[in-house]
Amino acid sequence: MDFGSFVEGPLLWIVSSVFITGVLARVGIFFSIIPKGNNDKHPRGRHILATLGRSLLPFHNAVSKKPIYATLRYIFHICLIVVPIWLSGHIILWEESRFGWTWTALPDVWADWMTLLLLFLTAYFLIRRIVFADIRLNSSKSDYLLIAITALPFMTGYILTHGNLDHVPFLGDNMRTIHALSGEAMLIVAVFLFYRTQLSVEKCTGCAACELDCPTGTLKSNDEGRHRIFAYSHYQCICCGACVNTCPEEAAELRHEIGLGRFFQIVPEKEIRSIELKECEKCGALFAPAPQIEKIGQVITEDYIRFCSRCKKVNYAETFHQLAPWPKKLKK
Amino acid sequence: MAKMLMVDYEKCTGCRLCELVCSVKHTGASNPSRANVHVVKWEDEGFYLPMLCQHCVDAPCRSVCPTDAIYGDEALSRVMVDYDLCIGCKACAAACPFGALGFDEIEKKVIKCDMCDGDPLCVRFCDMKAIDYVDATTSNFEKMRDASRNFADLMTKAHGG
Repeated sequence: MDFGSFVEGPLLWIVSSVFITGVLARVGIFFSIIPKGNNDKHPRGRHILATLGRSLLPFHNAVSKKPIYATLRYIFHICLIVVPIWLSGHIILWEESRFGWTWTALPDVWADWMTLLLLFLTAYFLIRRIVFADIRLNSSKSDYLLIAITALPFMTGYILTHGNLDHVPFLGDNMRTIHALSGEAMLIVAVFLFYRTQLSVEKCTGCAACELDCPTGTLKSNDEGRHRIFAYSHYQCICCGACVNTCPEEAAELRHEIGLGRFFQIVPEKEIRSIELKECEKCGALFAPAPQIEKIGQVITEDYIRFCSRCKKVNYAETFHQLAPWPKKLKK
Repeated sequence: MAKMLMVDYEKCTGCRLCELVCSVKHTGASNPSRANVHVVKWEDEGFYLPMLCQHCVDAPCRSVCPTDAIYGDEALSRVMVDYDLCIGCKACAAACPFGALGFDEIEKKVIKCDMCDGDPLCVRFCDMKAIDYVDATTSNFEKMRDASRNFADLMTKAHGG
């Protein structure tokens, strides 16, 4: 058996079974974990499935802050799912397989345009990632890898149906194999693709408003010692975008992350951010995150933010106490 | 007519009934730590001072709020929190110079005095009227009268009357 028929035969079976097992396992883990982190205080916490469903529709939470980018992203994902499933060429393969399944195919013209649109959007996302400095600094290797893995099957597929590569020495013979192989790579990556909320190092003030708004209890903050630690559990995240929508500093970002190891780390909460807390100058209590106090200090006078709430109350009462005539009368 | 909550330290007995009724009214629980009024005490001198939100016109909490959830209610001359906009970042609690804004850890929201929509319960329950709900424009008349009497006494003494 040569490599090409191995890729289209046994390897496809292996990949498909990994994909199906992986997806079922993730759904199972999601439903077993979600009741534990359920944020009852949150109105959406009680309707996690509804929230999850809503996040699949356009114009949900995360859209409002970057409408153009979010719309493009939405179109991209529709193309990503619709084209491979409803492409006539793929349906023929299903029909020829031992299952003999068949369904109505997408008109070929549509499939072509959707593929081109998807490739165009992929190029846009890649350029955007390279050109804008703030996005570039936030990117890791896996972000670029993800773009490459997503684009490759569609690119090869398009060339396969339209290109005439017979005169090209290597590609002409092996295009079909490359297409199948890249598609299989995409399926495998999809199983190990997780979300991750990222809190920007420069922008996050540590107010923990995102924690309050998270319907599933995915994002948690904990004051440990002199720091506020933000933790994130990837299996609980339903990618609803509540954190992105809530963040007043636009510091929260929902991102894809490829993690082979994270698939097996079911419980752990990954520390995503640690923020120093500010100390009250009078009693020494840690009362607010330091970056937030710094930011407030730009708007109001510094005198208001040196003490904790309780000390400010007592300080004011003390001043009043000294000024009030009554205790002096008593002292006479 | 702008009305305000006026505190008279001379009348306060330090019974802390205001704290209780405030927490019952706003949270349904008798828990003074969740109230919007707190009495600071000097027991040795018998000096008690109830601390309340001052409903500042140019309120620091309002100017630091990142979502503009805090607004001035002209009709009752009070500062209010719009809980639909509030995200719970607690910036207002850090900014308030009087420490009058608190965070309710049980309901996970910022709490502040809302003057009970024009009928403050603390005033109704304060027998001594140490907290009173008075017209802001005429509230200083009594003090003015006291001061003028003192001034008159002084003047008489000075002129050897």
